[in-house]
Amino acid sequence: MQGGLKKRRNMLLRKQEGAVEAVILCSVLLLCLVGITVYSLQLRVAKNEKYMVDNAVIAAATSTLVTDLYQYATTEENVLDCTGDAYSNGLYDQPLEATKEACKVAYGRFLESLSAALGLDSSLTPVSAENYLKSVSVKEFTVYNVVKEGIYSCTYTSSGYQDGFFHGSNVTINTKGMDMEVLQTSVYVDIVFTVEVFGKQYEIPVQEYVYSYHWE
Amino acid sequence: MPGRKKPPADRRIQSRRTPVKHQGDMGIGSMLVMILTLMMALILIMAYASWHGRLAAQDSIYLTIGTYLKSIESSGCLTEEQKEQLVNELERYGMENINLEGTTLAHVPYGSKVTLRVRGRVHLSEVPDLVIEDNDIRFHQDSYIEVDILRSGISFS
Repeated sequence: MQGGLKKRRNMLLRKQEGAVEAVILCSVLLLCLVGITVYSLQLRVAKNEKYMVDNAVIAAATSTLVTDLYQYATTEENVLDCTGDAYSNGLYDQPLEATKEACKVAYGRFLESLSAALGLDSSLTPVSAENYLKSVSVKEFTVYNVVKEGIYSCTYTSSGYQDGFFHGSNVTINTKGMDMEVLQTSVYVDIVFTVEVFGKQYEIPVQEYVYSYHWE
Repeated sequence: MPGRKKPPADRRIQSRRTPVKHQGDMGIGSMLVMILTLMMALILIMAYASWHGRLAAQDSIYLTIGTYLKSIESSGCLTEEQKEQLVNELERYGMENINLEGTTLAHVPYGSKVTLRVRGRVHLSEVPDLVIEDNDIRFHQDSYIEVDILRSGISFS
C-alpha cells in the first residue's frame, strides 16, 4: 500500500526531461492553427466579396442596355434610351446631346441596380454596418452610341459628364488587360470597391464592358 | 563515515515526508497542455467548417437568384413556372419559409424596372454551429441564417 502510494507520488513528481519544451511546442502549434484559420477565412470571405461585386457590376451594367425604340424603328440605329421610357421621339436628331442624356439615364439605372444588389444608399455607401463592403468609387462610366457616321460617346467621371465623337469605328478600350474594339452600342464601367475583412482592407477594381446586340 | 558519498540533492529531498515540487516536474501539466491544444484545434476546425458551410450556402443562393433575375429581364416578369422552379431550387439549398413579396409578377413593358426579392431562412444542419450566448458555449445542430436578397434589373421584353 505504502509502496503503491509512493510509486504514484513519484510518477506525479518525477522530473520530466523536455516537459517545458512540450508546452512551448503546443503553444506555437496553437498560435499557428489560429493564424492559419483566420487567414484562410479572411481570404475566403474576400474572394466571396469579389465574386459578389463582379456579378453585381455585370448585372447592373447589362441593365443599362435599353435601346431607344423610336430611333430603332425610324433609322434602324441601335442607340441607348435617352429619356427613361425607351422612346426619344426625335431627340436623336441632336445625337451629341441625346448621347449625354442617354449617359445620365444609363448611369441612373446602373446605380439603382448596383445599390439594390449590394445594399447601398443613394451615395453608394453601404447601409448595413455588418457589410464587409466599406466603400464604392466609380472611376469611369462611358456610353458608346454606334451609328452610321461614327461613334458618339459620353463619359461620366468625378468631374462630370464629357461628350465626344469619333469618326469611323476606330475606338478601342482596355478592359481586363485586353484591348476591345467598340463595334456596337455599349457601356464601359470602371469601379473600385473597398472591402474590410477581419481588420484587413482589400481593394477590388472591377472593369466591365457590355454591349448591346444588333437587332435583326 | 569517511569515503561515503553523499546522495544526490534530489534524492535527499525525495526522502522527506512532504513531497516537494522540482523544477521541470510537469507530468500532469504537459498532458493537460496537450489535451487543451487538441481541444482548441478541434473547436477551430469546427468553427472554420461551420463558417465555410454558411458561405457555400450563400454562394449557391446568390447564383440561383442572379440566374432567375436574367430570366425575369427576358420575360418581363416572374412567370408561374419560373416561380415554381425558383422555389424548388431554393428549397434544395435548405431554404425555408420562402417569401417572394416585392418581386415583379405582372409583365412590365420594355425598359421598365423589374425586381426579384427573396426572403426566407436557410437551415444549416450539416455542420454544428458554435453558439455563444447567455454565458453558455455549445455546438448547436439546428442553426439558421436569415436571408433577404433584393435584385433589380430592366425588362427587355
